[in-house]
Amino acid sequence: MSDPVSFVLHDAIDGLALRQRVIADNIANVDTPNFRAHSVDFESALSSAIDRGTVSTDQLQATVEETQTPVGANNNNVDLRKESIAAIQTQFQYQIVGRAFTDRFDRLSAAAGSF
Amino acid sequence: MGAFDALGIANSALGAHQTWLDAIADNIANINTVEPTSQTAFQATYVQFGADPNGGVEVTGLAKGDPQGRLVSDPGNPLADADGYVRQPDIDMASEMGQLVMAQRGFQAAVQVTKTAQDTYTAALQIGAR
Repeated sequence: MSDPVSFVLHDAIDGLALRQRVIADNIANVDTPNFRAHSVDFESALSSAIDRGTVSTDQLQATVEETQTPVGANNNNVDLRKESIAAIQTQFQYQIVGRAFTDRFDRLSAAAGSF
Repeated sequence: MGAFDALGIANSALGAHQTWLDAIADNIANINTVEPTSQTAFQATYVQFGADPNGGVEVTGLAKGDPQGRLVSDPGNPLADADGYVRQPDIDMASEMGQLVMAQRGFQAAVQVTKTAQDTYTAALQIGAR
């Protein structure tokens, strides 16, 4: 499907998958000296493309940036509690977008008359 | 209000109680830290909580204990002054242990909120599902 809503859902689920990978990387490096946690932003590019009405044609790029939060021991700034909460939230957001996909495909199936 | 406020609010409680637990651990660890009378005593840290206007709790300040501490007669101590006194921190062990239980229970309660929030979101995902 190549309608605008499908583009939005695709970009959202890609961005959320990337965020989950980055969170996993942050947690894996919780004790790595000199490591900086990274954060993912796909929402900014997506919402401005939606506002412009160009979501179907834009190449949406998520950004991964080093965080600037204070460092602790080992010169490492991973906050394990924050990353764990972010992992839970990202998982639910992924499930919600997945549910939106399922509902759209269900409607498509109904329209096609197949079950 | 965002869709995942309960998680963020529980996270603020986890953070605040973690700070409290760290402060108590430091206080108890230094309860026997003795200084000569010419120096200030170890100062206990007391965590102050405040409500975050956007929801949740935050640490609004860290108060310090009395630098005078308590003067204790301990003539055998190499740090003792000419009169045989040393300076001990003014920390009440019973109070610290009580606070330790409160901080731990508060942390556990916040963990339970995150679990309940997850159950709630899982239930919401089932609305209208076939």
